[in-house]
Amino acid sequence: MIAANNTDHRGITRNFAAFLWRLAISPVSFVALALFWCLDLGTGSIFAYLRPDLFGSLDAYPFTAWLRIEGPRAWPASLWVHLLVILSWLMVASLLLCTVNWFLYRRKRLSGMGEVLIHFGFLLVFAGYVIGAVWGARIIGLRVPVNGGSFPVPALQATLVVRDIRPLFGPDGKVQGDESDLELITPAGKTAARKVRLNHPLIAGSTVVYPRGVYREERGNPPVPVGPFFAHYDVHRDPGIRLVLVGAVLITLGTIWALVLYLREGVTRRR
Amino acid sequence: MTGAILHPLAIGCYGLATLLAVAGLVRPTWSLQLPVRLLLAAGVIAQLVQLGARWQAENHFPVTGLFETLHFLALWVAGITLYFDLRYRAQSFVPAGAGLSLAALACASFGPQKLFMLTPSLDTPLFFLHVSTSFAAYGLWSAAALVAIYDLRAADPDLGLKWRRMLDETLYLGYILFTWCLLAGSLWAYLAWGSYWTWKIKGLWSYLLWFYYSGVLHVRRQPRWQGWPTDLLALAGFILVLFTYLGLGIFFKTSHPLQ
Repeated sequence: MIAANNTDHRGITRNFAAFLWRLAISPVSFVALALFWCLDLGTGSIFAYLRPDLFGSLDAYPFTAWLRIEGPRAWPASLWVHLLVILSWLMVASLLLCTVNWFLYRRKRLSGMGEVLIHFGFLLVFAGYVIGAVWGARIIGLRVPVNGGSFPVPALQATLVVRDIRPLFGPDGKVQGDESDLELITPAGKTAARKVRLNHPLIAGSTVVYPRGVYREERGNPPVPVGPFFAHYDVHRDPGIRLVLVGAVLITLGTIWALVLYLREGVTRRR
Repeated sequence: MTGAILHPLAIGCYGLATLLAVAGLVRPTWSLQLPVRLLLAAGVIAQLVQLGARWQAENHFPVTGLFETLHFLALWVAGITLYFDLRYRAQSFVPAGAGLSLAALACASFGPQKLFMLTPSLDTPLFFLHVSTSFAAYGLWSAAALVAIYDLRAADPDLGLKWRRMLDETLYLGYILFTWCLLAGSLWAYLAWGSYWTWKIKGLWSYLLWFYYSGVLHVRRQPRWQGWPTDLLALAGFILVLFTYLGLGIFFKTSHPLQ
């Protein structure tokens, strides 16, 4: 009797585990999660747009830092953000199990490999994002006098050396931007140097220095620019960026592979 | 100067193509297939020449602002219509496709047609990759919505099979192109703004669009989702495309202003 009950119990557990597995790897599960994710993000994004006082700083922090520092202040308005996190993890779990399932039951031909590469690439991008969100850092609005010098970046234990800053002029003779000769010395003693302007930041591994323009302080009402010029820079460190880049490459390769097979299938169907 | 001729010429070609295509459907005995194709092709060529001329004048890929983006979208929809007519013999699709291109160009006419000179923010090769794939995907998904309407109305199962193939093609290729759009855009955002993921409303709705169509692609081959469910998904997706492209650009202050 006891042995029969144990067998029944194991059978029920096995059946339940099989049911959970089928649910996890089912495309319909992913679709349902994606639908809720879209609904949450769609409504939340408009709400965030209308409340910049609560959500305007989302891009100024690594994500977990925002959740820790600004999140409590925004609660309960930030409920949609927390829901988005939960739905994202569930979608990623579904995706991961689906990818594992493909590898476990892979056919001898590599049909479907394109889609698998896209799935796997997405997983790497998500993993890289999580690493950056947890262990990343952002220094916003580092102010540097335009005559240059060396400036510590304490949060990253790095030093930013500004050798020269000059304006960039457009074809009409008006100032269109600025270009800086920068050098970044990282904690490991490595240096990276280049001419920096918009779309061309200084990249030193996972640390990037972005130019944010040259300004003077404004005082009075109406505001009037006074005093010396300062160059502004943002310095970001994202330790997950390499994983993100590998994931992006896999997604690119996967889409190309899938596209080629899809077009070949179309040609075969025409014959 | 070239635009003053080519823009109304393209409108005229698409308008006439639409009228003749409708006439051809009403009076099948009239041999209007060839004139319709020639008019569509003429419109596409006129738009391509205008695109080239503006590219040369502006010194960058000319797809910024409302006029140029609608122009490029119209070009894609007209091109897809011509392709469907030649590949699938889908003459009945021409009034819808050419009509949509005509509507896009007509709306573009109300916006300023001035040339946009290259600014430092657009000075990157990623701009071409990002914008071209984005509007190509929008064009394909717009065509998908039109095909979905035809599939919903198709009484003959054999005809329905043709519409379903066209729908599958537009949904799939649109998704591939939009994936490349997001990859290029994310890389550009990382180099320009500091992160590949941004909480700006335009970026969020672009990701939303990608996830939505990820879901559509997952279900489109499932037996229970064949037919009208996928058609409705394609139509709903088009509404999302319209909001992401036009709604955000016109009614919100975003990182991708249209005005």
